[in-house]
Amino acid sequence: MRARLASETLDEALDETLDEIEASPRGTWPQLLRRRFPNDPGLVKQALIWLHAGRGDDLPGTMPSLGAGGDRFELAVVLDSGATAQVWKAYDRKLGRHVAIKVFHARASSMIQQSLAEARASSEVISEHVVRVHDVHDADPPYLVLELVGEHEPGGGSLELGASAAACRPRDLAEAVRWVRDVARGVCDAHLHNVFHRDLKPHNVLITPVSRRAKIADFGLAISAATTTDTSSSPGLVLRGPAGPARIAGTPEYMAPEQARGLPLSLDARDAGDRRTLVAVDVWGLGALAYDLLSGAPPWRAEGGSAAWEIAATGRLQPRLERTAAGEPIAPRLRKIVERALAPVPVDRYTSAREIADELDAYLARRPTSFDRGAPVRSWLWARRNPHLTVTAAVALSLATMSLAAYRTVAGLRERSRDLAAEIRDVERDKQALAAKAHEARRQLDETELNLRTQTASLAAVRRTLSDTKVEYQAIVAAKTRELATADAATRQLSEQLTAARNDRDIAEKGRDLYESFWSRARDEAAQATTERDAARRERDAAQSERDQSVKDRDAARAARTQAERARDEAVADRDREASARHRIEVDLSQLAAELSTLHTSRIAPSTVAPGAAAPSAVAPSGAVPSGGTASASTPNAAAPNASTPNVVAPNAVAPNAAAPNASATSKATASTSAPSTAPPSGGAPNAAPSSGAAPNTTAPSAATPSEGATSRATPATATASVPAKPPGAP
Amino acid sequence: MQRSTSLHAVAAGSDDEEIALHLERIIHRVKQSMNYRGSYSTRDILGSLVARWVCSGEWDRLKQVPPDQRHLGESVRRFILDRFDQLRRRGAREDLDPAVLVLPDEPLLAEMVELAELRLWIAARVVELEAAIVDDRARIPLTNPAEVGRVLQLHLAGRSQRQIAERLGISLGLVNKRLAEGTRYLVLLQGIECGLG
Repeated sequence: MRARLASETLDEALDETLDEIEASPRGTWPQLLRRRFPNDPGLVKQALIWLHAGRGDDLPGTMPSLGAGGDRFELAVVLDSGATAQVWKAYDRKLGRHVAIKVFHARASSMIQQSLAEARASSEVISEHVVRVHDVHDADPPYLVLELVGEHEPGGGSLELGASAAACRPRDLAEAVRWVRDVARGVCDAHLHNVFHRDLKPHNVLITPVSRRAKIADFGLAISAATTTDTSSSPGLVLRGPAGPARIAGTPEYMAPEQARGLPLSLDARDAGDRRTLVAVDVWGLGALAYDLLSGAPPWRAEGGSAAWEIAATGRLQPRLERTAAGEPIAPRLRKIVERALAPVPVDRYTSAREIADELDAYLARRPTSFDRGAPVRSWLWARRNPHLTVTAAVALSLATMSLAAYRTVAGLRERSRDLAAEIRDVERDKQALAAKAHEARRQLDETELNLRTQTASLAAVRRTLSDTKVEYQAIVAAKTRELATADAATRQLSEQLTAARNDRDIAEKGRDLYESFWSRARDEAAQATTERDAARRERDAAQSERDQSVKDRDAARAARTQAERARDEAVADRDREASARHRIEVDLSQLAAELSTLHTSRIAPSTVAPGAAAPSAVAPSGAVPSGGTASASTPNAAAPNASTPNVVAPNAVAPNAAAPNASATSKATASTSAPSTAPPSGGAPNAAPSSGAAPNTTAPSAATPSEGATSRATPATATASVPAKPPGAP
Repeated sequence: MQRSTSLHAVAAGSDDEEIALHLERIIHRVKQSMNYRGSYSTRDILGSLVARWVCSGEWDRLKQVPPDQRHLGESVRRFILDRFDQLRRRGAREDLDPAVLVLPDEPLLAEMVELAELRLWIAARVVELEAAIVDDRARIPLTNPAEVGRVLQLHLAGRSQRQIAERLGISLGLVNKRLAEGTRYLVLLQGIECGLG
């Protein structure tokens, strides 16, 4: 706290010191500061900057020098301060009047030219709605002497200064419209003198303080026939297009779209085409001014990083006018006027400022504007415009209506009175008739009363009878009541029984339902079982038929086997027969051999012994033959089990065949008879060949070759003969 | 950069009159920047485009190259033409062939660039003042920094002193005082930035 107080004290002391030094001549500031702050050169420098910064000519409140005009004009207060100039209230000592002096900041030649151009443009216009220019000073500094927009207070009071429309906003909607109308008149007057403002906005409209009238000021951007302000050599944004160089100039928020895109530098205020362009720009300015004064905001607003003139250049539509800044609704008639003035396309706007002024006059006077073409609107406006006449006519009309209504009411009342009198007469007649009727009724009443008395007596007798009857009746009723109680009990019992029976019935019905559902399921299952049984039966029949077929096949096989066995038996019998025949033949042969040997012995013995040396060898085979023959004779029957090896049998069988070629015919015959009978139906297995077939086979091939080849050939024959003995597939 | 160097040299020379002249220049520029209110001047409109060009970062890039190789005019010119192309694409409008864009000469353009930079710098300082942030280097104090900041902000937004007084509920004289105070503070800071303080 103490530190802050010390700091504040220091600040105040510093301020006082700087104020003292500032009051001194400028050249002494550094010395005074160094003397005041000898140990702080930094502070000296800062204080120097501080002092210089407060001395600037263009700081509001700092009085500029008017050069040679300084003697004539006495500057008083700053009225407005802008980017290029300040406006001062001043007193003209020579003419003894108050004036406004617009002092330009820059001393450059371009600024002097601008001030001259503005002065010329303003001085060409003579209008009560335009601020007049009294004089221009084109030396250093350039300044304009203007009419001071101010008024004395009523009753000769002090001079009140006007302010711009931006500073003192309109009190109500009508005042805003009046201001725009005044400005439109001023613009129209300027156009008549070929002066086009191009920068209409609330800042450039001055309002008189008492009468609240609007005046146009600041013709800095104006184009007139006498001035050529737009030169491409002046610094700024200049574009060159097909129509020549163009410059963007104006206040961004109040720029017409074509103005924001650049107006050609070659615009000539006397050329008809250029005039249309310039008029359209000013008409837009009037619309923008009206828009601002009504809604409290300009048509374009800077947004989203774009300046207002960039938005204006795109021709984007401005927000719709609905209410004033104070919330007062804006009439559609007035809105249409403003919207037409703000049409993005110039040809859609009013063709002159006078049209706008007339439209606004019509609006203020409640006369039809160019948009009010309907009869109802015109009638309504006429009524608003002539309220006294309207009220008188309305009163007269209402009086006439009331008189007519009163006359009709009186006539109706008279007629009603007549009707009522007739009704009264009718009522009187009815009354007399009713009196007669009443008399008659009274007489009848007396008679009735007499009758009633008689009937009352009889009624008393009846009552007595009735009381007696009542006693009897009560007894009967008591008896009946008892009976009823009994019957009621019985009924209750019956009811209970009935309830129980109903319960039983319900239970039985439920049981029956269950039973039926069970039986239905059972029936379904039975039907399914029957279906399955039928299917099983069909399968069984099919199996049975297959089995029958198999039995048939088996029987056929058995018959075939039997036939084969029979054939085999026959073959065996044939073989036996052949064996016996062969046996006989062998016996005969052995006998013949014996006889032959005997014969041979008898023959050789006498001739030579030497050749007889071979006899034993010859005898040996023959001797072997009987033994072999015996053996082979016994073979067919005895050797059956061992006949699986025909090779063993074959050598034994060869010897007789080789020794007895005569027997070949017999063996051939045997072979030929046995071969067809043993033909197997399904082929045979050589291994299963019976021993019985070996014998014929051994004889069959032996007739062809009595060598070892006979043995090898006998093997297939044995195989073929053995097949029918036992079919492989036989059961 | 060139300006800072010259001011340094002047400060070293400590010639009061020269310092005063350069101070005049700084003061004039600061006040000129503060008086910009989107007025009708085509130069101000061009200034707004130059400010946008500065914001685009192109100026920061060009600062790195020697002054004779910057081609300031060509860069600004291209930027403005691009901007016009963008505007043209936004909606139907008359075609203004921007084949030739007349810009002021290079020194004036450089001055506009400096002014645009200065305007950005002032806007940043005013925002700081609104938040009651005062630069420590400024040894001459401000009475009410936040109020000074608000007044300056409204002034930069184009409000008149009367409107500012109505808006903030203070007297017209106080608005004038705050405005002068703020202007002095900004000039002082700018002088410090240039090496004078």
